[in-house]
Amino acid sequence: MEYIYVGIGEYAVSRDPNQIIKTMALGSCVGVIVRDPRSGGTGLLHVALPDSSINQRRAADKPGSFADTGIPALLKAMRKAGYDGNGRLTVKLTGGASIMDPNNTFNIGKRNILAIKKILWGLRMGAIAEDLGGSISRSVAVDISTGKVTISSPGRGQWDL
Amino acid sequence: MGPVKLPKAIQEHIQDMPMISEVAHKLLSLVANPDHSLRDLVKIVENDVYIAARLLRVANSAYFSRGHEITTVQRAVTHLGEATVLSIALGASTGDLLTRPLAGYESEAGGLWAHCLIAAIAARKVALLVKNPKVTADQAYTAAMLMDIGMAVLADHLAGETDKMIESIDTQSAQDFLDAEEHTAGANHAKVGGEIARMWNLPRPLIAAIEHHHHPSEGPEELFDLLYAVHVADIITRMAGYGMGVETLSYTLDEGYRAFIPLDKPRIESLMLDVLDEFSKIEKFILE
Repeated sequence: MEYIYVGIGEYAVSRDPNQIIKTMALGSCVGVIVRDPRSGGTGLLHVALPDSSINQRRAADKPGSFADTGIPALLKAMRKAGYDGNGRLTVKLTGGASIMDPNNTFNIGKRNILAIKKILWGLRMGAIAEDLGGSISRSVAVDISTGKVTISSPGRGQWDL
Repeated sequence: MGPVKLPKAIQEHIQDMPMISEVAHKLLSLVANPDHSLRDLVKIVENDVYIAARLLRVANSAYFSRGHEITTVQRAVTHLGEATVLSIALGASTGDLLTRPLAGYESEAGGLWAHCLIAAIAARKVALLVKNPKVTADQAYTAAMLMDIGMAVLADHLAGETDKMIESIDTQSAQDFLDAEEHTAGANHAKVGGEIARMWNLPRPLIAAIEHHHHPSEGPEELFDLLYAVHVADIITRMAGYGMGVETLSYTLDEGYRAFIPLDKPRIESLMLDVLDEFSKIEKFILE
């Protein structure tokens, strides 16, 4: 198996059944996993922040950093990989955790989740599975051959999404 | 701010630790004095052949040199800047203390060092936002770099207890990871770090920053700006996913920061991006 590692603000799409796409230590970031059941094309995006208006230069250089530029970029890459725009993509979400902050000023995780869901709703896409929030840092891997999404967290083992 | 009573096994472990190198001690004492000059810094590092060689090597790397050959330590220090020099010198003088795997935290080799380095970058930026600051950016940088030194000792006393600690947090019998450490080992990493800093005879502000980085409001009031800058930097680093893994986000925000550091949501988000950008540029030179 070949691993493709996705860093913060990056995304990857593959149709190669010998590959696994993985991203580490999501923290408050959110992992968006999309799959075209017809072509088997599968993508993983590591969103750091909700809105690109805080740094448009970065949005141009690394669109995956923000929910509002990352999701369109991921879908564009999916089309390049064979998604023809017909039929539904399956979507799974994970990450968006936070430290304990009663006033939510530092709760970037929650803001990321809301922004991503709002954009997906606008595209008439909803997640079929999600493992979000809380105070645990998650890593996520998606196996291109089966579409199986596996979450892991240090000290907590791993589980399927 | 006197010594803290720790369980005997931990106290003995701290006493068995190697002393910090003379160069590192001199550097930390120098940075604690806001009036020091870059020349003072050069005088210390040029007397340590190993550190001087590392500084020259990094200064002559493609990223830092930009085509100019740097042949003296003085020019290397000017070129790299104080923060980068401190990272290299402290990394070189703490041996594997900050880089070895930490069993009790489920952390791989280098995990603590990466966390410390990002937090240090963040602390520098946060310190510049402090209202009417007494703290300098370099003091905050140094304090953040050493704030989790207690984990290097406590990890051995938490080995094999991770499941129990996670359960105590999930069932809310422990408030957060710091509390779970206390329940399990009879001490938390901030207290242990404070004792290490005391044994090393580090400057008082550094000891306080290490000891109170999770709860600055419990620290000495005259050092609040330093303590809160380090605390906020730690939180931002953790939000970005950089911690030991098992405990990355399992801490509580001390809201007292509001009186010292004006931060709204967009500013926190911009800070996180800036910190990650800076880290990605220098990590390969510092973490090697």
